[in-house]
Amino acid sequence: MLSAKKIAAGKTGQIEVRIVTKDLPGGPLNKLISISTNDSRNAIVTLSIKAVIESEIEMSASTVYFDNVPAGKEDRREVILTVLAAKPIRILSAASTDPKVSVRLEPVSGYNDKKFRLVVVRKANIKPGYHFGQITVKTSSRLLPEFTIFERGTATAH
Amino acid sequence: MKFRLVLFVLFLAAYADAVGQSNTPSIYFENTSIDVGTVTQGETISRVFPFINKGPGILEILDIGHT
Repeated sequence: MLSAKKIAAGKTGQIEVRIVTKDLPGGPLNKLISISTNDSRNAIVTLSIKAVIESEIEMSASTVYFDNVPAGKEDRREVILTVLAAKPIRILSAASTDPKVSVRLEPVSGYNDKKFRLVVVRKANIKPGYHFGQITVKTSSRLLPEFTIFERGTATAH
Repeated sequence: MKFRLVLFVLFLAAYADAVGQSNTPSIYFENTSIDVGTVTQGETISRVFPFINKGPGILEILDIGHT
């Protein structure tokens, strides 16, 4: 966000940069902002913002792929969801938008509700063809009340 | 006569350059890089880059892009 497009001699302005991290992956972040001006000696000025995005919940995969399994046979995948130890948040529920796929959450024993197994099952009664959907996982986190895992695959004929 | 003409042309060039310089803006950022450190996923990072126009001309911000 720019305070003003034209700045008189001797006057100041400011550029406010906002980065929404909700959908960004965990890890290092380096955003570059390029400013074009009518200053012939600084026609382009590059600003940079560096940060490290720390996830509250780590997941072993962000997409679930089902192989080309014949229709009529159930197929199952798992994603491990881990709440970072220092965060007082809980994983509440999981639901799939794909009617051909069911999901359930199973706590991993010994982790005091900090680690869950998200079991994704492609139903046996699926018709041959491509299918995809989103799995929405809800949490008690204020910053990340829900996140999405994608699933896709192809069921082949018998 | 030829020498005087060359001098006159040089004078005109210098004058035009001086006039051009007097209208030139000059953008100056104290900081062009900010390290925010560690942020939790879901937070919104907001930072301000102040700048000043140190030149005599009007500074125009023509475009802002980002990666």
